[in-house]
Amino acid sequence: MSQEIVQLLVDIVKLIIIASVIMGIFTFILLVERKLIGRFTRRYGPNRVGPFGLLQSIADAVKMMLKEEMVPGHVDKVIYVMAPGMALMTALSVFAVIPFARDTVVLPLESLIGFSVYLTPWVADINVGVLYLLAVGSLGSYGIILGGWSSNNKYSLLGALRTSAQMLSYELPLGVAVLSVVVMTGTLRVTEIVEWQTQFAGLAWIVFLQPVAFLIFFISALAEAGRAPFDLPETENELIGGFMTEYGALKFGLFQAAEFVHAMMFCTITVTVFLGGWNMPFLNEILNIMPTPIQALAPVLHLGIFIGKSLAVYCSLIWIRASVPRMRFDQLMAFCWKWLLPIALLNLFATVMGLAITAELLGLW
Amino acid sequence: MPTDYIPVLLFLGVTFTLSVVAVGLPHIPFINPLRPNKAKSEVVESGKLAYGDAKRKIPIQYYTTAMLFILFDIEVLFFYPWAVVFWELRWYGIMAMSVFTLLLVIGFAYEWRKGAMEWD
Repeated sequence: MSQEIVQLLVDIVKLIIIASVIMGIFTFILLVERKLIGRFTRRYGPNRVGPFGLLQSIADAVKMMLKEEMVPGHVDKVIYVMAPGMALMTALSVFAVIPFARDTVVLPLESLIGFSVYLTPWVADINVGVLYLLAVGSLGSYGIILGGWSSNNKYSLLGALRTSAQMLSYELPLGVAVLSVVVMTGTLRVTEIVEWQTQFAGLAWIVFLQPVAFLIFFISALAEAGRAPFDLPETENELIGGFMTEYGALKFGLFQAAEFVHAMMFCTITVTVFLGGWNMPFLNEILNIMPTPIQALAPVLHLGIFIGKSLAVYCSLIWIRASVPRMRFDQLMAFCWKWLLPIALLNLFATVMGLAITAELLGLW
Repeated sequence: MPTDYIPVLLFLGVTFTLSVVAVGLPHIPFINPLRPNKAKSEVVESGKLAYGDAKRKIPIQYYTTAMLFILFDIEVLFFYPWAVVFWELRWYGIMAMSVFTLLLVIGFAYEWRKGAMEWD
């Protein structure tokens, strides 16, 4: 086989592994969330299935798969069936441009097949990566809106309407917050944004330089992912289950999965854009003075750091969910339009002015 | 480079396949313990009998929000190319973008004043 075909096959296998690992981490994170929420409310959380309840999520998944899958008579059948899949697909697709580590791993297979195979630590390194993140990230609302609309149920419709209004609104401060990062780094390529943050011995995390943008991004990401305190799409005490009222069995499970993957995805974007990605302060400097065998472990180390940081951000989401009460819908919209958006625009203006004046004083341009 | 996007397409293919499998799997008759009856296929509305269709008139604020969103999202979209070439355009770019933003901020202030962001 020629080199291109082998490389392509290896890439496809890598993509399948990435998608499966994301779903695997999702089941783990679901357990972490239920355990932590349990602890926050002075319960044990799931602890019956397997040691420490570790197999709870898998038991739930099997249960969902084996339940009765019924399409009710009053729904729009095609869209009703399509919506959960769409929600999951859009949530998963965003991971395509996230860099999980720095170095491309070369598998030295010259002696076996005559050439080396490359394993890039990202799915794709495209030059409009940030735009891809924002665009595909906001597509997540489609599955929810279509699911709520096709259910032909007033609770679902209200949930879907609220979701669409909320997601549309919070996309603006999110975009403007990322924009101030793009102005600083001057690139839309996600790998370059992470690389930019390795300056000054890895201390140039954008969260230190753009704290306001980070806060706005984090709040908007909470709202985009439909997490507490912005979980109005599914307010169970007023709308039953919001857009998923009419769903059951695995389709309900898929919506849940999509929601969690969506939240995970915003955690990874937060880590990549604001918290230095796979890097830690002084990590590269320490690695450089280490012997070569340890340097070869750098991709594993980077991957571990990336996953650790993402989990830490996710745990803060759980913490927020356990601590903050849900907002009222008019407060939610007013907060976005009257506070977040003007502050985000002002922050952008301040960033631009600060950069221009600094560049003028230091003679950078 | 257009070839950079091939992995994205492949990944979309993988996620699409995963979703189709997940959606289609429970519809296999062997797995699905399907026992439909009339009560199961009715609308779930707090146990009461549902009245009418759900596709009814909805509050106007949702439309206003959608319009405001389109307006400002396009604005944000125009900002991105400028942000990338910010270091080349320098003061010229800042001036041009300030005028552009000013026009939109006037529109924003007008909508705020008119109460487009009020929910009641």
